Amino acid sequence: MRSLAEDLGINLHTVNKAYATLRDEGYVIMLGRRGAYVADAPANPAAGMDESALEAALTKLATEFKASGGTRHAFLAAAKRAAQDLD
Amino acid sequence: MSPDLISLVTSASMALITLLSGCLIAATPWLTRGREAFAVSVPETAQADPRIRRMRRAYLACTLAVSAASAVAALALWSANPLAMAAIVCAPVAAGFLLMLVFRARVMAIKRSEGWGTRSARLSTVAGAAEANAPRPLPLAWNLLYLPVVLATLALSLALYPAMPDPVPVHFDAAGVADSYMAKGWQVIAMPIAVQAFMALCLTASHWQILRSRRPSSPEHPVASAIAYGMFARAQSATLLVTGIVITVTIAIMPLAFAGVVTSDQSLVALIVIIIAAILPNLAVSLVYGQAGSRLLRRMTASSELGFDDDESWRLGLFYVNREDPSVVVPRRFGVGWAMNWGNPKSWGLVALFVAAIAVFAVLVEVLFR
Repeated sequence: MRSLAEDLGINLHTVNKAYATLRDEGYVIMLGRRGAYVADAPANPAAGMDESALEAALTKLATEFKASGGTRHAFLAAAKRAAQDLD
Repeated sequence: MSPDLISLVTSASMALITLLSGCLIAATPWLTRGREAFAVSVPETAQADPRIRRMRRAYLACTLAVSAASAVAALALWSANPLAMAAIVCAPVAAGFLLMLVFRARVMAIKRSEGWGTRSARLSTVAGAAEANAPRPLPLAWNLLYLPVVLATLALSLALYPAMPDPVPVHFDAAGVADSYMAKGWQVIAMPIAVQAFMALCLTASHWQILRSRRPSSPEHPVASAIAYGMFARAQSATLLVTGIVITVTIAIMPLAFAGVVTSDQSLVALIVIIIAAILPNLAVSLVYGQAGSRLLRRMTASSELGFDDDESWRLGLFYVNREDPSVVVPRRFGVGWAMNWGNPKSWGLVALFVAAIAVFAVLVEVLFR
């Protein structure tokens, strides 16, 4: 971890925080002395996108679509097509 | 050999060394990394800018002129005034530094007017399989090769001890005439060994610094630059070792000179030839690889983006000061080799330790061997 901080020329604390964030989000598993390993899938199912995050993302898209001249009907139709994979 | 001829050979060697080191300084603008010009962070495409190309040629011409003049002056002055000669040898270095500052200011002005700066920072490093592909400097254990050299010199001194006169001539002036003597005793055997051992320790410390250095990577070409730097560091560590062993072996000329096996003029000429031969591999590696392996990458397509800009950390283009950076040793910005991170207290500690070690050694030599 120190060699990573040295090679990038950034503070060790920044690298530590980055690793901690990746661990908290479930992307990386820390095995103490043996190092950090990339996880196969997010270990914490809540680490993914939940409903409030989804709504925030959709609000952003809706605002952008409206600014580009889109209608509610077109937005909902597109959302329905995009949601075909959800069961 | 007559004293005049020895003087001439000594002066000519000093002049040649001055000229060669001046040539390396003059070539520096072509040896820097593609993302830096005269100690300023620039996009790689800026290297083709006609203004910067003109600056490079001007730097080369001026520094070569100063080096040639200094070499001629060294040739004329060596025997007469060693102090003036020492000042003259520093002239190309001083000229190179001042010219770099001048052109650095101009490049910064061009950078501002062209808007080459970047507000974001995109850093890169290689890890995992890519890291394993990048070569590393030679392991420290190679420095154990100094041990047989020291032991062989000890054996040689012991074997030649009976043949040495009493008192032993231990210092020769520029004309090859003995001007200092030492009474026969254990000091005569110990002095060459002590010098060799101390030199081996210093060179091992330099090797350690190469190993400890940050491994730079240009975000514009992350993997290629990491591999190029690895090759450069490996070559530099190998040349350091070879040069160190050659120079340490030549110290074995001391007992040979004490016993009169080689005459003083023979040893002088041999010494000078060997020292120049030790300089040439280092010159070759610097010119072939460039700083941080940059010349290995000169055929790559130049990037028009600037990943990160660390002009602020480099004071006067030469001194790296960055408290955030945990590195102790970093590659130089304008020049071939490495520099310390003066924002890191460990660097100051190491330098203080080094200065103290040299002072202690000098005092010890004075006390024990005089």
